[in-house]
Amino acid sequence: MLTVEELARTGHRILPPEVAVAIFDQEARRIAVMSGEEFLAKWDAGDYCDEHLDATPEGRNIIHLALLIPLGRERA
Amino acid sequence: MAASAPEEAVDAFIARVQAALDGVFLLTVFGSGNRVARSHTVVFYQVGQSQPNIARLRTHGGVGELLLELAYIYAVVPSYHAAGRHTVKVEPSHCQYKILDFDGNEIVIYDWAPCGPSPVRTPQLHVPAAGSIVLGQRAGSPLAQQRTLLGSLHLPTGTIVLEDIVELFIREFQVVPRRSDWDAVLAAGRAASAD
Repeated sequence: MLTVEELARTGHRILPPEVAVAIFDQEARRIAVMSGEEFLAKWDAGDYCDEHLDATPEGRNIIHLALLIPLGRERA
Repeated sequence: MAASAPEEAVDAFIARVQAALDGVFLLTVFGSGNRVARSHTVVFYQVGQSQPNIARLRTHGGVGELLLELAYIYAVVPSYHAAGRHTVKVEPSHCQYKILDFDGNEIVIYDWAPCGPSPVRTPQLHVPAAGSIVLGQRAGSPLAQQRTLLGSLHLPTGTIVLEDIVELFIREFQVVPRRSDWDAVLAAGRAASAD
């Protein structure tokens, strides 16, 4: 799998799907302490719907992760 | 900006984001995809930074520091050219610009989600760094001692584009621009985003 440094050097500006999914997984583990797949499953199941995510910094970090969800779905 | 193919539209969009951020950052911008009718996201890596979509910059002539954390979902959507040609263009579907202090604490957040679960669909500002305040009330009001978290309020703004954030850094936080023609580049980016 190409790294982002290699992609940058070669002028690629669209991430290969496997790189996109790996970035999402890395961010899910950093922010939500779970894999990208686990976060997507919880998000899709509505586990975060009842939470006022924008009321706290921790919740806003979850929103930030949610905004990266397209990365995790690029392989689909 | 309309284009004849999704690849062309996304390339132009990524180039615009790169040009705006080049005004103050040394980083590389990527798109996560260019398939039509799908959501994709902007990803960038600042040189020396292993975490995506966060960039550190020197402020106040080099003696201060701030962080920008960006989230930007875009979609490639069919468009229709007046001449009858079918075209595509890139549209934002959620933008969030977080300005953080050197340690990652939130200062202000510009947010816009034109679609999605939030009832607030217009561009908005949060000011978490302002903490909570007690709004002055008449004596006896049940709200007299209630604290209001300014970070939770959705303060309406006009449309805030990435170029506005870069200009904010240069004008208000005294970030030294990396290129002398930064204002012309930002003006061109704003014009492209309005197409």
